[in-house]
Amino acid sequence: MTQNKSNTNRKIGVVINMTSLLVLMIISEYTFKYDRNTVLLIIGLAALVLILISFIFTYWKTRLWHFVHKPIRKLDERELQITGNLLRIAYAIFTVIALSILLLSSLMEMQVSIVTVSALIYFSHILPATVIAWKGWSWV
Amino acid sequence: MQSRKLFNRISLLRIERNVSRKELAEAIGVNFQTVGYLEREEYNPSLDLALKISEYFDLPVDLIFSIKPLKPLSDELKELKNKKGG
Repeated sequence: MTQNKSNTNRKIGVVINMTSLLVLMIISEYTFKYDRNTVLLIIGLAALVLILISFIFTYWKTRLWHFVHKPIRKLDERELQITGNLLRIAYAIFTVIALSILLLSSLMEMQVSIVTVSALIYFSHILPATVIAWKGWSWV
Repeated sequence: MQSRKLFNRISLLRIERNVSRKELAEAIGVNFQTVGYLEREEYNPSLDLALKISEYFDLPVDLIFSIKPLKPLSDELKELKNKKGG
């Protein structure tokens, strides 16, 4: 029961984190290209705060961030196996998303803003932990 | 590749010898959570780790690990004794 509750909480955390990241990227691209106004700035800041809060509760306190950033020499064989699987999935997701953004920006003849690039860097680091947060440990 | 489920007696032997998961984990060089996964038969160890475990308990590997559900240790020892006697 408690396990199910924590799994659901983790999934909610992932949804909040990823949605806020997407909102932040869209707003930054919009303001970068078209219009800068106070309402968009406030929504952007709210998204940033949500990213921070959901990061603390979903990745930091659950130690998922620490697990995926542990040095290889400190991992045992089971952890190495999990990390290998996580990185394989994360690499596939990240390359498709990052290259799609680049392709889209090239097709639309649009410059990618610094916020989007920073968001992608954050996304690449958070993705392996997101896979565990979403699917749990038992699937490996 | 999906590997076969391995059955083991790690939990039984650890409790019998009054060793904590942390102590066993330190002795065989893994995280204590990995010992939990091994005991619940949710993770199949490598050959190296299986040998380390058998060295630690000073028992043959096939007495600790099996691809078939394990019989009680007393039955196994009785069979071994009978084999030696016969």
